[in-house]
Amino acid sequence: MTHKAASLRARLHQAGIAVNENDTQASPPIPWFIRVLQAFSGWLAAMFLLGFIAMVAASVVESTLGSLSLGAMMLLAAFGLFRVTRSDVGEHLAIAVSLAGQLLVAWGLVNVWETSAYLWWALLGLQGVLALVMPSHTHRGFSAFAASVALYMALAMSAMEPVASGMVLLALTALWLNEFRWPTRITHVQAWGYGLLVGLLVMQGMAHAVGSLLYFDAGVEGIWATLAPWLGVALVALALGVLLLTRLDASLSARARGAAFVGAVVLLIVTYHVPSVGQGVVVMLLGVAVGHRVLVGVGMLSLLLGIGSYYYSLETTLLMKSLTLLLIGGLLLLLRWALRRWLGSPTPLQANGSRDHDA
Amino acid sequence: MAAERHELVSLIDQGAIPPEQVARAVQVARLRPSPRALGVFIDRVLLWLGSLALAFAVLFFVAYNWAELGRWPRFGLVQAALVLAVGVAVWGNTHRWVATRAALTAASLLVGVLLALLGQVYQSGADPWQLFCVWAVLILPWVLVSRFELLWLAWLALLNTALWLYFRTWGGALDAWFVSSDAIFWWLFVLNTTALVVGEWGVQRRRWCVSPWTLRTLALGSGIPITLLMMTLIVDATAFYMPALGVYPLWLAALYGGYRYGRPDLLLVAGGCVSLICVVTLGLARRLLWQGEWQPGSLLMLALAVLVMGAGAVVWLKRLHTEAPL
Repeated sequence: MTHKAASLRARLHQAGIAVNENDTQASPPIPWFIRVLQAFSGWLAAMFLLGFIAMVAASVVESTLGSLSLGAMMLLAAFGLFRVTRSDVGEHLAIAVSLAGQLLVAWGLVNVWETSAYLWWALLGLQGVLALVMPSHTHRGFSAFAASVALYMALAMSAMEPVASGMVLLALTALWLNEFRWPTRITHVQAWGYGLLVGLLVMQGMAHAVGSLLYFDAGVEGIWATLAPWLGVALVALALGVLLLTRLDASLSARARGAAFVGAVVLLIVTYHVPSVGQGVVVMLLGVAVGHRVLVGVGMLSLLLGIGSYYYSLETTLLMKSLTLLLIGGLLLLLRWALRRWLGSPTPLQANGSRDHDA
Repeated sequence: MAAERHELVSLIDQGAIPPEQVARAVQVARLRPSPRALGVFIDRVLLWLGSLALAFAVLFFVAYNWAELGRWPRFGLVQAALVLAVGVAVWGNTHRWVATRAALTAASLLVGVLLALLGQVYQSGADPWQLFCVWAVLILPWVLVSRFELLWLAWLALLNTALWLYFRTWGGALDAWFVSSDAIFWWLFVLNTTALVVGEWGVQRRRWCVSPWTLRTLALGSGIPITLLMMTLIVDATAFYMPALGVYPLWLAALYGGYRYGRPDLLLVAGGCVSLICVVTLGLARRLLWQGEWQPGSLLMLALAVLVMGAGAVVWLKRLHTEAPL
């Protein structure tokens, strides 16, 4: 047991919170990277398993009904295996069987709808159900991730990609803000939160790599496609608003609260011109608000990727982008200067109580 | 903060804290930042975002290649921005280290912009390896002065890029022993492994304050090339890749010894497991599928092998984690 953990327990005792000592001897929670390893090897095994099924039961896989039925049966088998097994080998096997089953179901759906929006909406529904019912932390995280990618693809068919990332951002903000609301479901909420977080990053990469191609291929025009950037910013604004309204400390002065909302408005203006900046900053602020360093790191990464992919955006010239960034940079530094003048320099305190002049 | 969060989640998940007291326990654990800490965070975010936005504005302007604007105004603009960034760094050096670091990072970026402008005006070619190499050399003094991990990583990324572009252009002319452009993986492995060893030495012996994530990034830079070399050896068993047969096991052993017993870091041990699973799976696939025939039994055997390896790694890592939790 670490010193910090001991001090946490001591603080809990001091606060009159009864910690059941008998229950704390159980094994510690599994780190995220072990879950990632489990998902990776499960996925790799599922690929080979699918190859085996395709060779053994080629006629079944070629038929739409056959692949849908076989896929559904494999999903049920995986669910049953998750319920009965308590071993890592069993859970691993269940993940591989489930992933192979999902691929078979997806294959059957492709036969019905090809790569239309219906396919992606159906896959979104499937992954949503699996994220809710599959009794495995790793599977829940994976299904949440797959659901976010399916949502992106479904909305990309209508040239509404920014709405997809805004919706996922809002969902993950709501999840992490309510992480401790249902104590018996805390690992479920975390699994969904991590899955959506990875999904958000992947969506950002997809928007950079293939988003524009999908848009031009589909040749979509219309009111929703026109409104998509505004809706995307509105969803970022909603996520930011929820974050500020629920987590701004009540002890903050009216000036500080006002400054927070002025900063939020500036961020939204920036987001409209440089998409992805808003989502990166919201994830970063969310990480700070819930005390989660992984979220802070992912937010920073998202922010850097957002600025990087702005370079390749085809919607405006590099000269306009340069002027936009110049304006944004100046505005942000001016805002910092104004905040320091208005609220005072926020120098952090060092361990010995003296002020750290890093700021 | 991370350890306390981990412990709190663990206690709640195990039911050690009564559900009605969870909200209070979260407050007591102080996961949420104080107003002062939040203020510092926002202050730094604004500083970094603002500085980088200005530096990128100059980069985008140069990339626009405005034909009507003569070469001297363009050089003048970039150099003025560079002087401004260095000026802020010198001014901040006396009492504002964060501002200095932000300014030096922007200045380092602007040196690259200036070199790119040179290439653009004098038509020396796009993305040549010399640009990245000279860029890395020129900013080295600032990297040394700043003592800033992110800038060190960016500097190493420049060297990686220079090497990559060099081999893409000239193949193995850098060393007679390397006769193919695939030698890039050897060089990247040597470069990043050296950086990792130096980083670990500094942490252990000189008490350098280096974030575990910086060292993990370096380990990733070391692990990916050697894993790719080993996988290439499996696919293309030529004498050129043979040294990987000796180096890869040594690398795995060093990773295990160093991060299991030296400075325990389970994430890097898990990374070694992923590398080994990839290599062994490819070896089995070559034996069963390429050299044999595509039989259903071979695919099933591969699926089972991956399952066993993955489950074995998870069981082992969980046991290590239980023995010494993060």
